[in-house]
Amino acid sequence: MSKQDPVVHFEMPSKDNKRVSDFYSGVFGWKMNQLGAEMGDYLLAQTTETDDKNMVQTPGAINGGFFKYQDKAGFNVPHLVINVDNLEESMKKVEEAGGKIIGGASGPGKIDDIPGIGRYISFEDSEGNHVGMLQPAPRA
Amino acid sequence: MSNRVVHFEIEAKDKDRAKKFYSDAFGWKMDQAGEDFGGYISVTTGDIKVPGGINGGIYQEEEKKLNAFSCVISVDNVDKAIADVKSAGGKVFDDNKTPDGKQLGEKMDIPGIGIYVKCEDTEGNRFTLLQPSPDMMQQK
Repeated sequence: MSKQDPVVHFEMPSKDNKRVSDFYSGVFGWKMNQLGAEMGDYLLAQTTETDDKNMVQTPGAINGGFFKYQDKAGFNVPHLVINVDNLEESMKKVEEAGGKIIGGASGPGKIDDIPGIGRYISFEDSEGNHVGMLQPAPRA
Repeated sequence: MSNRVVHFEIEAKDKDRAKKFYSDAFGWKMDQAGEDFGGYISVTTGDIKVPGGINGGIYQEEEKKLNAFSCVISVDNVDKAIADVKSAGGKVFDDNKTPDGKQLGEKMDIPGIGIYVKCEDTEGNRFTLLQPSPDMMQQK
């Protein structure tokens, strides 16, 4: 069997970051961290402890975040993020297996290069579900 | 493991097609459960002892409404969590049914897994609460 690519992060759309931040911190005690405009106003959601390199400490749990809702593919529904070793290779595998590449914030079919995070693209699976893939940036 | 995202679920119109897609594209391991579990497929995306990843499942839904994944959040007390979700402006669904069509209300008790409750946040995103059964906690 080939190597398994794990699910490492979740993302959900938000129309109002303050409202959604209050919801998840109020109900589940998640630590919410609002990033700046240079990171697209992304709202980080910490559901479990991390170390100083942002690595999750406890097996079986992941963190996530909220992105600004937009009325287009890749930005209108929640998705998971799958960690892959080689983004181009996985994009090929997705298409061979019957999926479709959507793209990133930089445009249809385009890979996003997120500073300090890695290279990201979203795709549609065989059922029409939207999913993200990330080839993480090398850790310093 | 309280209040963390511990599991994900993929809705599929054709679960066998989805099973093939994810094992081909990402090498995920699939375990088909019996009809007493509604034909649910357990998905392993990596070694559960390694922090930073989660496993999930695939279920079939002929009248597929979501083109997204949903997160499963583990809680200590599901009744308290239901009340908290409602008071924070979220929705709790009460349309659970047994495979033979019996109405179950808000809570669905899955043998060996726990009590499962479908919800929606303030942004319209679906997620699930799970109060794990004592059997499940012992396995960990």
